[in-house]
Amino acid sequence: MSKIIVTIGKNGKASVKVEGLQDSSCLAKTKSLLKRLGIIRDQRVDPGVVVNVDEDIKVR
Amino acid sequence: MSHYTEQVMEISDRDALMAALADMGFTKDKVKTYAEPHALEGYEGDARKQRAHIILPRKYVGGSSNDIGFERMPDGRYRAHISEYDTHRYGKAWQDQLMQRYGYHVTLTDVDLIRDGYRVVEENKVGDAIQIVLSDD
Repeated sequence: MSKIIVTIGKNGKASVKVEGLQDSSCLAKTKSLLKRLGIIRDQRVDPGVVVNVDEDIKVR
Repeated sequence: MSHYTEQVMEISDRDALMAALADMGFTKDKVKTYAEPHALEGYEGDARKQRAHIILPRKYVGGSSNDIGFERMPDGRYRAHISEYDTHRYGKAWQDQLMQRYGYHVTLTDVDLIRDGYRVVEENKVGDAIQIVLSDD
């Protein structure tokens, strides 16, 4: 089971967190969602990462 | 004549933008859409040089207001055209709220996730933020 948690702040900035099973399919979809949200363009998404527009990718 | 300011927004999904505008009070009957960009109107009904594909007509923007426009750029993103006069009401706070509603609709309509069985299992308000939890369980 995978959980994708999307938080959108009142400033319109979003962050996405992935929990549970983080297979390549889930991460690809997360990356796609991040792009649609305008958070990233070509950044790498790895298991267990939190991506936030205000910060670089950081491993939890 | 009030000058227009331009703001490139991280918005590329037209349907999500329309849904976000509806959340902000600009329902479909209060929005004009064009396949080709159309000139914005100033408060006196004068055609301005700014053009847009999605226009919020001035009569719905407010008294003595000018049209607000969203112009689709070649890279797919939208550029907002808002007159200086209208930025007191449709400034950063309004634009931020629009982006929040846009992000909400982008997330809920992500076709890749929906096709693969992801669904919204939780939707919370966390302070001023919206939190959406999607799961494939």
